[in-house]
Amino acid sequence: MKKIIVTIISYVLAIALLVGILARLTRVFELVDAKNAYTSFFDKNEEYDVLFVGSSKVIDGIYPMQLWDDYGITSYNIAGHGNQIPSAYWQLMNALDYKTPKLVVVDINFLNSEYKYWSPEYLHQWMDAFKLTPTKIRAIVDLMDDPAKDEPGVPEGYTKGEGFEFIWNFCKYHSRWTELEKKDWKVDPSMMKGAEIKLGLTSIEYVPDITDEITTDNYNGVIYLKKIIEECCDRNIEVVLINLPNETNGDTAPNVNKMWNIADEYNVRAVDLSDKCLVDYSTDFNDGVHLNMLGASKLTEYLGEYLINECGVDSHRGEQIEELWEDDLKKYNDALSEMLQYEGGETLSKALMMLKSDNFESIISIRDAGVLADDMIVKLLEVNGVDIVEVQNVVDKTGNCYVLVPARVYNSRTKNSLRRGCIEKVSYTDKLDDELAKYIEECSFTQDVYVGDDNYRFRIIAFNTVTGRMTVNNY
Amino acid sequence: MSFNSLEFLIFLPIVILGYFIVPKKIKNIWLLAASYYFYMCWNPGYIVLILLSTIVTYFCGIILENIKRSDRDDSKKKVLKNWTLAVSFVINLGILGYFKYTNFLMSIFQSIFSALHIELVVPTFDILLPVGISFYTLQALGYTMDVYRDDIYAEKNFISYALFVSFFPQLVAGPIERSKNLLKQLAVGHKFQFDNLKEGLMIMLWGYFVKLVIADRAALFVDTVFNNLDSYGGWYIIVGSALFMFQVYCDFHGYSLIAKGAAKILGIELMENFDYPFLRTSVVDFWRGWHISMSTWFRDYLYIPLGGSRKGKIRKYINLMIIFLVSGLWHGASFGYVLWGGIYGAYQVIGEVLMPIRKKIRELLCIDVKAVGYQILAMIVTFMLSMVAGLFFRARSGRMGIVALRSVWEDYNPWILFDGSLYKCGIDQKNFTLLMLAILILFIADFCKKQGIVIRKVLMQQHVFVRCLALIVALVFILVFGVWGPAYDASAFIYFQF
Repeated sequence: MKKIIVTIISYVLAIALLVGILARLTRVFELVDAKNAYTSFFDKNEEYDVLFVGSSKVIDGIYPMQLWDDYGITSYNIAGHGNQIPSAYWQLMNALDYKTPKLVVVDINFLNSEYKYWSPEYLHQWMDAFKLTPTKIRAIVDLMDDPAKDEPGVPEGYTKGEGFEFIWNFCKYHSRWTELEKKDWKVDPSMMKGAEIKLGLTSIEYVPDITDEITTDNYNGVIYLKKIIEECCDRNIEVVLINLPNETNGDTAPNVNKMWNIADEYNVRAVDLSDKCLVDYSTDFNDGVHLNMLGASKLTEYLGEYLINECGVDSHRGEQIEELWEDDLKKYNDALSEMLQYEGGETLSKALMMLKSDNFESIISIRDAGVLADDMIVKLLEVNGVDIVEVQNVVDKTGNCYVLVPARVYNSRTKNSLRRGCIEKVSYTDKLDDELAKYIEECSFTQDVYVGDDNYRFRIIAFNTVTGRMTVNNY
Repeated sequence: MSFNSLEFLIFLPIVILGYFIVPKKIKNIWLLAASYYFYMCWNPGYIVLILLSTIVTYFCGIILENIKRSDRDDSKKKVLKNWTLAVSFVINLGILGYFKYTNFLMSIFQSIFSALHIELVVPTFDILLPVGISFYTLQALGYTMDVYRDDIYAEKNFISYALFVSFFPQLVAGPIERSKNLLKQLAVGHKFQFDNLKEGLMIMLWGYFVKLVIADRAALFVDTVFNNLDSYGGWYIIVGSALFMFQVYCDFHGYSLIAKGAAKILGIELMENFDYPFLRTSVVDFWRGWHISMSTWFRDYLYIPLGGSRKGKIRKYINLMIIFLVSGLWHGASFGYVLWGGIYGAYQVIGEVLMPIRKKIRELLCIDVKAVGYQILAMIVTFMLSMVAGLFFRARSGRMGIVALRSVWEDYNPWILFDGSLYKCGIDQKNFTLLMLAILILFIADFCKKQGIVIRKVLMQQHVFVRCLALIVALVFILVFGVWGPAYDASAFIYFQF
């Protein structure tokens, strides 16, 4: 009898140990991207008035922390990479199990897609963050039933997954044992509230797309967009449809026309953000589709105004939750400072774009006026508050111009600018000893600012006022 | 429904639970239904073929039994028995021949006509090979032969007989069971025994280890090399051939172990199919440990009826060549497989012919065959001989086998063993190292078996804590390092576009 009891206890303990080991291994082996992006979403202390839903255009294009900073709006960017609208629908349904927003902003990208999801890898990017619940199981069952992928002519990259890999993702990730790193052992929650910041720069040409064509109803994109609206209506959640700017293709206008159509049908708001002259197509795109930091900041600012003025979203400044969100904002700014570091080797356009961040004060040294013939460089200098005419004047006089660019925290809501660091305002000099020496003494810039090799046309010396790190980039 | 699929892991416990719950009279019906369901998961339509084979061999068995018991004189009995046997063989081999060898024969005719400069368009047929047909056909024919030879009585119970032909653990990949062993066990219902469960699970666990950790990992390297013989020559092929031997051993052995383990849980003992083949010291000895169920089937039902070694040396050599060529053909419809069989046949014949010379040399050099050094050398030589034959098996055609063999001779590149080139052939360095470690574990296990040590029995004698811990370690090891599940590709997770 004793032996039987010992045996039973041993087996029970063994099963418990096995389950524990596998649970831990599952956590370690799975890619942390999803957990890092969405961990803060599940924080019980946080509530969100607005959720942003869609594909990576939304992830890269809308910054919730900027919305809080400038407008006091509480929001989360729960868009998913590669999200077709059906997978966005299920991502929203799973999110609504945890939070109840007042408003959902839905991007209409992929409105004319027949596929429910792009690839299992893209689905993992958000599904891995959500616990296994009946909603998640329904999502898996529905999304795995994607008959369009059995038809001929499936585009490259649109692959099929297996349902079980989303129920227990260890079966997908177990072969990662060869690439495990320190970051896999601990979740490092992102402070971006689901957003990602892109620092690339690609100039694209904006071609207005006007047509009477309209995306038809038989696409899964349309069907599931209507499901999102109906589901939100049932839960008294307002919906705003948006079209984000991107390089124009043949699908853009028919999808936008359908967006207006659906908005009328369901009496919901819709905004075509590509039509608002919001972004500069020569400087604000990371690639042909996604906005970079410059473009996303502008778009977010516009959306903030729209949500406050048109949709009646409340500012939560002065309320109890402000302390929590201010704490999040500080962490966000710290993370941003860490991220926006010059590593060396950045392209000139990227280097200038990063300067736009509030945390950098810099001395830009221009020795070749020829660089001012590049429109993109000129625009990026102007974005940083530099007056090109002043620069041209100084360079013409002496063949050399030092531009001092301050670090400032600019609040678009209050329109105030708070200075950081030592440089007070944008100023221009051709002399090494003048105003420049004064700042070199006061600030942390070293003598290396102007001594050292002269072999450059354009130099950026950037000082991160938060981390204290200084870098010199020559071009 | 393959053994390493989720469906099987759900199917098996349900079948086992059902077997021990249902009354004794229904147990075989339950197992038969489960076996047919298992088979139909591969292709529902081909259940007709296994049913046809079952019905033909069942009735042939009954007829043979009736002939045996009839009052006819012996010569008439013999004629009738021969005709009955012939009917069974012709129908079953006809079905097998049609599905497996039609296009092969067509391609041979095409080659002959081309050589004779006769222009003839020989049709090819879109014939899907029914899974397991080679296995259950031999199993059913073996039964017919056993009844013919009066080794067993004909099975009157159709359910039991149908189950014998289609018993799901060994249906698709063996071992090819004998009626004397399996039919007898299926005739009685089995009660649940905890020891059977423990032992069966351990056998299955070992099977999954060799299959998922070794076979499927080695396959990544082997496929990279053998599917690109233009790019990989010389030592790539040598390493690839060596790994292929482990791949095919562990794949087959793994499946056999999983089958054996699953049957064990049900209280049924299946035969051993592999017995430390790479620790054998001659080709003859190798075949005592390699695919035992197949080799003994051909020995008992082809070699011996052909006369075996009873009709002189020349006849013996011819018989040896015949059974190895046929066994090669049984593996697949291509000259690559035939050559594989032919090479092993040649090894056996040459070995026999040279035996007196080898004995003389050993005597002259005072070589003790029991010495460890000699044993190790003999194992290495046997393995290398298997590699040469295996090269044709993997190349899957005679022409490609010769191309590969020529490349071994012509492409001189031993530096690939040291400069990291091997880690760019489908598996990286960590996976390659893991593969070597797993093969070492396999060797240790096989060595223990050779010494008469059955590791699972040693484990069963340990305290329950130790057993549980060992099983947890083994299971976690297989889950982490086994090649299973949807493929993970780091580059597919680069998702910046959308």
